[in-house]
Amino acid sequence: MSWRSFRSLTLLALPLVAILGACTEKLDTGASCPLLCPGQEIVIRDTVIEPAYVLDTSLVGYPIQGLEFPLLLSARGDTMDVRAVIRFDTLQRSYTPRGDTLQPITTLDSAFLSLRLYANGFAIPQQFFVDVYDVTDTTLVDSLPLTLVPLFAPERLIGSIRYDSATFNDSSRVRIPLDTTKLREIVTNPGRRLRVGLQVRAAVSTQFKVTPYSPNGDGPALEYRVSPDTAVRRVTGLAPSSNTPLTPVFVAGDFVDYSIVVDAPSVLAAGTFAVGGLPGSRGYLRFELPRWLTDSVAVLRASLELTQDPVRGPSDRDTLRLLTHLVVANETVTDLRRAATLITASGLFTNTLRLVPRDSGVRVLEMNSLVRQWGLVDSTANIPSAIVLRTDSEGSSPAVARFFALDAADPSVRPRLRISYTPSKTFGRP
Amino acid sequence: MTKSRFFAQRRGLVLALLIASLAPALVVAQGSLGSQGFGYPTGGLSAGAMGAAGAGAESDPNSALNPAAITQNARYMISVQFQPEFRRTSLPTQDVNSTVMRFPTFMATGTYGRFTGSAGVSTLLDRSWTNRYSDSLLIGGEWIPSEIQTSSAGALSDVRAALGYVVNSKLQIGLGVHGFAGENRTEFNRVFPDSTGVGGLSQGAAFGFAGTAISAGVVTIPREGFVIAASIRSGGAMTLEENGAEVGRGGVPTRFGVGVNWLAVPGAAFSARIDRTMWSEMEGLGTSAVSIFDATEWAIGTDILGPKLGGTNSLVRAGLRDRTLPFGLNGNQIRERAMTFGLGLPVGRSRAQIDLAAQRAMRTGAGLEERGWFVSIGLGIRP
Repeated sequence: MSWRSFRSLTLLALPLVAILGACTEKLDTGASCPLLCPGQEIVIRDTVIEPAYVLDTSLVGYPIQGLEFPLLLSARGDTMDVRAVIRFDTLQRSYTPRGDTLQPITTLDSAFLSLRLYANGFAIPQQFFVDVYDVTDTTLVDSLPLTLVPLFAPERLIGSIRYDSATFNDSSRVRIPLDTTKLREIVTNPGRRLRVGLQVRAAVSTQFKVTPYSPNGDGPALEYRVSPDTAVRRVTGLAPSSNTPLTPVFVAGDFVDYSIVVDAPSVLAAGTFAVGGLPGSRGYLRFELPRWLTDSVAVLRASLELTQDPVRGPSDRDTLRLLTHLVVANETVTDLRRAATLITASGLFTNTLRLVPRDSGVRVLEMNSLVRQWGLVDSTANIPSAIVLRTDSEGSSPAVARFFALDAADPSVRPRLRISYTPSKTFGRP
Repeated sequence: MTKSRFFAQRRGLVLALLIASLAPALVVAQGSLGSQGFGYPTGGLSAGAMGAAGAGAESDPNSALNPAAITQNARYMISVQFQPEFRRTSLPTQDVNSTVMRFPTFMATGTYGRFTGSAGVSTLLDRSWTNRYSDSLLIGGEWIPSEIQTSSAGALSDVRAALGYVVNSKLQIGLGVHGFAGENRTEFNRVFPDSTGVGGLSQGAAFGFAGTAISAGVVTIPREGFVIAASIRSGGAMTLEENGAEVGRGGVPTRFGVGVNWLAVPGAAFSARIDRTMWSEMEGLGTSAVSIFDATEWAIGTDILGPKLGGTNSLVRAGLRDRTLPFGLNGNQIRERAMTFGLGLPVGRSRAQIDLAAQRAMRTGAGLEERGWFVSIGLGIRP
C-alpha cells in the first residue's frame, strides 16, 4: 500500500471511528450515585390533616331511575322487596298475511316475555316464581316508580312461570307465558301501551338479576303469534320502548326499564355516611385543603383514612368494590345530588377498595393523584374539591359500606388525611 | 500531485469533516468526579496542543486561548476536533466505567495582510449526563423503594471572534470578543411502584446561560528560538435563566496565562505554560450547595520532529499537565493530573493536518479516584 493510499484510508477511518465511538457511548453511571450525585436527595415531611375534609353526606337514590344495570328482583321476606318495570310502549299491531296486504292484528296466540335471569351467586330456592303484571297507567308520574306498587295486584297478573332449582338453568333466557286474551286486548287497542312489572316470589328469600334493555338484543323481549297460519312469521324480539315523559327530552329512553325498591332496610345512621345499599347511596366528600399543600409542595402520598362501621343485613357478607370519582361540577350546581352525577370515570385518581359490609377497621384511599389534580384546577373555575364514593353494584345489590363521618361521636374514628410531601425544590441547578 | 488529484483529496477532507459532524448527539454520564457542578472544563485545547499537554497552547492557533496566536495560522484554516473520554470512577465498593464523547473546538481563520481574523466555538463546560439508580425513602413511616432517573444535556460554550495583528516578525497581538451561551436541559424523575400509591416526582427544566467577555493576547519572540505568549480574558456578567426566568447572576471567569516555547535544539521544542482561571466569579449562578474553586493549571511538554511521512515531517509530542477542577464534591476540591502523547500528520502537502493525542488523566478528590483516557482527533484544512 502506498503512503498516499494509507493516508486516504486513515483520513476516512477517523470520522468512522468517531461515529462508531459515539454509538458505543456508555451513559449509565447510576452506580456512582448518590455518592457522586449531590443535590438529588429529597426531604420528606409527614403531616395529618384533621378533619380530613369539611363535608360528608350520603346522597340517596342512585343510580338515576332507568340507569340500573342489571335490574334486581328480590324477595327477602319482610327485609327487602325489589321489583322491576319494563315498558313496551310501542307494540307491533299489524302484520302482512301471506298473499295479502298489511292487516291489523285481530288474533293473538303463544305470547311470551323472554328475559335473561341469573342468580349471581345468590342461593336458588327449591321452587320460585316469576310473576308478570300489567302495571300500565299513563296517568302516573313517570319519576315516581313507587306509585306503581299497587298495580302489582292479582287482577293485573298477565303471566307467571314456576321454576325449581333442578330445572332452572342459571343465566339462561327464560320465557314467561303471557295471558293471550289480555295481551290481545292490549295489542288490538291502538291507544294501549304495555308496561309490565316483574316480581319474584318464593317461600324463602330469593334474589335474581335481570339483564336490562340493550341494543344488542340481550335484554327483555316480547314474542307472540298473530295468525293461526304457521307460514306467517311470529312476532319475536320485540324490544322494550318508552314514550314518556315527553319532557325533558331524552329521559323517556332511560325509562324503558327500571327497578322499584318497595322495601329495603335503611343503612343510614347518625355519625356515619353510607355507600351502596338500596336505594343506592353515594358518599359525597368535600375537601378544603390548605393552599400550601396544593400549590407549594410536591405531595408524594395522600392517604384518606376512613373507619368502616360494620353493617348487618342483606348481603352483608358480599364483597363490594368502592369506587372513587372526582366531582367536576362547579359551584353553580348547588344541588349535591345532581353534582354527584357530574363526575369523572372511576379509578383515574385513586385506588379501588374491596370491602365486605360486616367488616370494620380503617380503610385507606390513596388520593395523591387527586390532590395534585386539585392543585392544577383553575381557581377561577370554582370547582369544589370534592369526590364521590359509590359501589360498582350500585342499585343492583343491597350490599353497603358505611363509614364514620366528621360528626362521629368518637374522635378516633373520624376521617383523617395523612400527607407525605416534599418541599418544592428545583432540580438541575448546581 | 495533479490538480484533479489535489481537489479529489480536498473533497475527501471536507467529506470527512461532514461525516464527523453527523455523529450522534452526545450525552455524558454524571456520577463522576470530573462532571460536578456546571460540568467538566474541556480546556479549549486543540488536539495538537493536547498532545504536548497544552504546554504550547498559548501560542497554538487552533486552541481557543490566545487571540494573538491565530496569526500563526495559514492564510485560511478550518479546524475541528473530536475527543472521546473513556473513564473509570473507583468507588469504595466497585468501579464504574463510562464513555464520554465531545466535540470541544471548532475554528475558522482567515488572513488579510497583517491581520488575521477568526471565529470559533469551544466548550467551556460540558454538562451532559444521565443517571438511573434506586433507593428507598421513608414515607409515612414506611420504606418505599424508588427509582431515580436524572439527566442533563448541554454545555456552556465560548463563542469567540478574534482579530490578530502581526506587528513585526517578533511580535503579534490580538483581541477577542467572547459570547458565552449554552443550555442545560435537565430532567429529574423519581418513580415509585404503582402498588405503593405514592406519586412520583417529575421535573424538567431548561437552564440558559448568557455572558460576555473580552480577551487580549500577545506572542513575542524576544530572541531566536524563544517564544513567549500570554493572554488574558476578562469576564463580564453572566446570567443563568431557568425556563426563561433569571435565577442566577455571576461573572464569566477571568483567565490569564503565560506560555514559553524554547527551540532548544533543531527539531525539538520544549514548552511550559501556567494558567489561572477565576472560576469563583461564577458564584451566584448556582445554589449555595455548589462548591467552586479558582483553578491553577501548569503544563510542560515537547514537540519533536518525527519521521518523514510522504515527504513531510511528522511531529511527535508528549507532556505533563496538572490542574485543579473548578467544581468540587461536597466542598472538596478535585485535582487532575495527566500524561499526554501526540502525533501530528501533515497531509496533502501540508494543506491539511491530522493531529492525534492521547491523554491519561487521573482525578482525585473527596477520597475518591477517577482515571480516564482521552483520545483527541483534530482535523485541520488549509483550503
